[in-house]
Amino acid sequence: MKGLFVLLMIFFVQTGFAQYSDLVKVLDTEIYEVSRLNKQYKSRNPNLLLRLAELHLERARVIKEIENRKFIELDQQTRKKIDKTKFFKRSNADFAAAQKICYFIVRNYKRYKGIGDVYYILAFNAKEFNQISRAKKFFQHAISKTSSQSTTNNKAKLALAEIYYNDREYGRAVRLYKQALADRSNKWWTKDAYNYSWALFRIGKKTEAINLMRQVHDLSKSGKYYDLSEDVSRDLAYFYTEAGNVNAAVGFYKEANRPIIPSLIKMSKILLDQGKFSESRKILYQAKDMSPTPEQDVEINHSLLLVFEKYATENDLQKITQSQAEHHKTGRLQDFQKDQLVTVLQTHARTLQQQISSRRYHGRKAVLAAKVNLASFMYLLLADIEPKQRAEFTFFAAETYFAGDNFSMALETYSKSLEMAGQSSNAEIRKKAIEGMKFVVGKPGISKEMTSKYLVPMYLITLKEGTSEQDAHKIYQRLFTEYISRKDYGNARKILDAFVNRFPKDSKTQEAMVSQLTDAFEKADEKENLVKILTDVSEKKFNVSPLFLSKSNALLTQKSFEKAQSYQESGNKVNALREFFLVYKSPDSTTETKAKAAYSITTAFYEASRVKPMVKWLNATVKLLKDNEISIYLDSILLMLKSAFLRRHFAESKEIASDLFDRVCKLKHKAKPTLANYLLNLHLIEGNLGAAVLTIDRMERCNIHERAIKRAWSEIISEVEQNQTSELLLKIVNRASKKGASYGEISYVYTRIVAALVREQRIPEAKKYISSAKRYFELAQQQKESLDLTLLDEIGKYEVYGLKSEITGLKRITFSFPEQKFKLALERKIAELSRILAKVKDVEKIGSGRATIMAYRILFEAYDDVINEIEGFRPPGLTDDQVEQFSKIMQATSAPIKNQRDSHRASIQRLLMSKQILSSHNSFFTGQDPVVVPNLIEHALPMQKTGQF
Amino acid sequence: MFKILSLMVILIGCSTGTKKSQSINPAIDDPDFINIENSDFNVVEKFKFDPSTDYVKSEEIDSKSRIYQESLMADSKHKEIDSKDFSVSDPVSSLSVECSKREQLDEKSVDVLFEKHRNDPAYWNQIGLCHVLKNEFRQAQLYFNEALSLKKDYVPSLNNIGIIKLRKDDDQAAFAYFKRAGQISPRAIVPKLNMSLILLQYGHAQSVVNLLHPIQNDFGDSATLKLVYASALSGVKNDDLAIRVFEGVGKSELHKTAFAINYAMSLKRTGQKDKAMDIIKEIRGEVSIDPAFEKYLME
Repeated sequence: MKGLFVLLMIFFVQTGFAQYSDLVKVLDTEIYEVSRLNKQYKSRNPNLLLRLAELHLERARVIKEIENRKFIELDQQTRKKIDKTKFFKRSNADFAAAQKICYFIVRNYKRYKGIGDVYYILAFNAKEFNQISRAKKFFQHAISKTSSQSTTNNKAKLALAEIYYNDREYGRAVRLYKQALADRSNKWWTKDAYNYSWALFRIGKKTEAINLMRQVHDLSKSGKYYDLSEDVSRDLAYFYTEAGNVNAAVGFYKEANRPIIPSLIKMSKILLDQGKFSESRKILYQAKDMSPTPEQDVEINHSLLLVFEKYATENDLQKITQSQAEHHKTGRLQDFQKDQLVTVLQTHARTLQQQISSRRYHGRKAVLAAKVNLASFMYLLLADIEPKQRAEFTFFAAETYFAGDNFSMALETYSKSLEMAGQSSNAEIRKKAIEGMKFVVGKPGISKEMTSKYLVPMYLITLKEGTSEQDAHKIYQRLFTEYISRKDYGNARKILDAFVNRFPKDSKTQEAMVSQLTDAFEKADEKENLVKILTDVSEKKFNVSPLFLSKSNALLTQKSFEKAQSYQESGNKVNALREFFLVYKSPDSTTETKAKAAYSITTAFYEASRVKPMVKWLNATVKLLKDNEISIYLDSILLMLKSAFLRRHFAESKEIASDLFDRVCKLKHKAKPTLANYLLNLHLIEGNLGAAVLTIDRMERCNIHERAIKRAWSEIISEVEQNQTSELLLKIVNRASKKGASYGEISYVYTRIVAALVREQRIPEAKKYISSAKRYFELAQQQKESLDLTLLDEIGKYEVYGLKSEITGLKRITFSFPEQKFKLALERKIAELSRILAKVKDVEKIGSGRATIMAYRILFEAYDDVINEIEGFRPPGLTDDQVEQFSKIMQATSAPIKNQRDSHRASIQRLLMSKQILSSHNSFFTGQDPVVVPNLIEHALPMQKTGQF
Repeated sequence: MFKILSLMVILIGCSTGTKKSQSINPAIDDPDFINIENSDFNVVEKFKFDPSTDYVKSEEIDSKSRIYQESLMADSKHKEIDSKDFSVSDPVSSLSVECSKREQLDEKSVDVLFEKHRNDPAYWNQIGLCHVLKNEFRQAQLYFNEALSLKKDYVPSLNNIGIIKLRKDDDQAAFAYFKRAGQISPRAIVPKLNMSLILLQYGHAQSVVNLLHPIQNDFGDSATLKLVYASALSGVKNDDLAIRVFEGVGKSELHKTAFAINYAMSLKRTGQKDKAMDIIKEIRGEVSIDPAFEKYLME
């Protein structure tokens, strides 16, 4: 019977309930058979009764299992409502039957040798019905009524030990286990030894417990015993942990080739449950150091975070939360793990933030920094973990930085939160972030770079979302300044335009911004942008003051000028020319700029050989150039001026030269005489001798050196001709005689005055000026001036006129007789001829060939007159013979005079031939027939070219 | 001058690129700024004056008549060039030729030639010459001076200043310029001719003979040279030679000039009274004849 019971138990345990129906049938059959036999013995055979009790008990167990299964399969609501007494009616009936039979035996067969087994059934039954005290009592009876060597005794001990173990009466349990488990033949020994080990552990015998547990482990692995190795390896970790011998545990797991990390995790949990946070943390870190799989690492982190709820350093928190957050990113965290992480982070971050905000740590910078960094770190992790709250958590991080006085990080983080808020349309956070950023700007530690980096997006968003007029006014200016400092002039210009659009009446700020941008463009050499903004100013796209507008326009002109110059440098001279023209035309160009533009235009036309526009622009240039600038350009202006009049723009050139001369008058410049000479010549070309004389006045006023003035007089006087009026000539001579002209030139002018007066029939005045001419001539001779042949002729001519009057005196001497009278007259005639000869010689000394020849002719005619007079003289009353005789005497008398005349003629002939004297009296001396020559002017030839040789 | 050029270089730039101009700003309303191209700024290669090539070039003149290579104003050529068909192959000479035809300067041609010939004394001489023809002596003097500033003692300009002096009745100064021109260029014919005319006027026939005799082979078909030389020969009573030279002159030229009177004198002196009278008859319509002279011939 006992064997069947055990068999059934084993069957039940090993196979479960698959064949429970068959078992019930078997038991039914046996119960039926034993019951029949019992009836036959009228219940007087305690063995049969015991057997019957055993069978009922077994069937009760089997049915109970079946009922349990069915019960479990019911839904919870049904299970609650169900009447368990009814539901477990069948099993309970069998239990009751077994108990009833056992009680019957106990009452009626007290000395029955198998009474111990009966108590065992009763004990088991009581245990089944959770009648633990009764069960204990019956198991003790079973133990006491059976042999210590019997199976029932052993089983009872084990059962009772288990009850004690469950009742935490580990000492009693240990004693019973110790007795019962001495025999290791039972397959189930491992199961009971496992409990025994725990009991030992509970009463503090940890070493024994561990040793026993390791035996259970070893036997479990032998295959002969019920295998509890999994439980053992788990619990050993605990034992070792509890025994403070983690290394031994690790050694065990290694030796047993069992996974360590799960065990360590379990161990940590045990420790955690025990409130041993430090130990638990230690084990978990050990596990973390053993290269756990990601999943294991998640579990470790999770456990650690549990520990951290009670005990954690800031470093722990940062390290593990970050690790767990990374696992979150890869999707390894289960919801509860993620929730845990979030909770931990939130809790600690909030705590830290409160600490930071309390300003308790502001005196301990390092501590404060660590707390700020960790809190911010946690918020930023949260931002990663919770995308929907990303902006919010980032903002919290920024707030933390701000509270911890880390303004630079606060600014950076506010900026991030602002960006995230924008992405998630979180208006509240966006607003707060902006406020935060505004608050941070200007705080210590915010570098220009930082401000520059984060300010712009904030301001742009602020403007985009709309803000007050006052704020916007500030923001536009800050943005503008920021862009300028970044050298982002394109955006600076956009901000300027936006500002102008929003604050069209704010002239002062607009001016300042335009000014800044203009300066920036100029410094950056961004010519096109500079010209554009200046053009916009000139087109009144900005509200600026008239003074600013004027200055801006002046700069625009200057830049246009530079643009033109750059065209020049690049060889595009037409564009350069046109650009200069635009500069000139610009109403905003200064006079100085216009002058330079005009000058450049002039030089360009000069280079292009366009004389007409060149003259026009040269005129403009001279009019525009300031006095102090003229000297810079004077040399090149004169070059172009000369080109102008050489190309027959005489009138315009004269005007320009005159203007220019006035302008340079007081300057010291070596080109002044040249300019004066040009002006003078242009007046002379025009035939305006009076203007030419006035030019000399101007030359004197302008301190032009005397040499140049002398040359100018020469030029003027060379133009003095007979057909000019005496009045003009007198003016000239009056001026010329005071300063500058040479004596010869003055004398020459006087000769022209004489000629004019004669022409005007003002002879007495003419004579007066002859004296003047002579006087200056003499002075010229004294000064040994080089004298013009025409002057010599004129002065010579005056002398010849005098000579003619001398002839009158000669003619007044008449021959008469008596002889003495004749001789006296002859002597006077000869003396007079000598005097005239001397006068002729004086004329010859003047140096005029023509006057000399004329004088000699007068002399010769005087000779001839005297000779003819002598030879024709006839005293009155002479006979013919006497006349002939007298004639011979007279011829003899005149012969010396003739000789003298003829000798002079030969020398005169040589003179006029050698000197090629161009005198109309030449033939008088040569005696040649005149050669007819037609009009010289018609026949004299100009020369076009040098000719071929 | 260097400073002037430096300043010009700064303001004008040294490049002479020929980029096409871009679209013109509407604000540019002056034609001077519109009708201009970058190519207008190209530097024109300057004519390099060479005295050996400084002569009038025309297919229509006899190469033996060197006087025309110096001046086309001489005798009959003067009239020929007044015809429209006459042309010279060198553009500079054509300036004065055209001026002679039109009695005014062809400003366009002057401008066209300016850049290339601004350093060419012959160019300025032509312009001056045109002003002489227009009796604008001060202007003429300006251009002759410019020519002389480019080439000191440029003979044509010296001669032409002499012409100015002559036209201003200062024949002594004119003679001085012709003489100087002749001294500088002894083979130049025109200055010698001009000197001869003056000398002959003042009875220096022998001087004229001396002057022209050495160059008689260069007279070519120049009637003026022959007439002057022949008249000088007549003046020195070398009548036979004078008659020969006079006879070398075409009748169309001879019968229009007062020089023919000298021819008549020589004919008279050599006993050819009738022939002398025939000459007088021929020229009477062109030249006024002193009745006394005519009477003398008749004797």
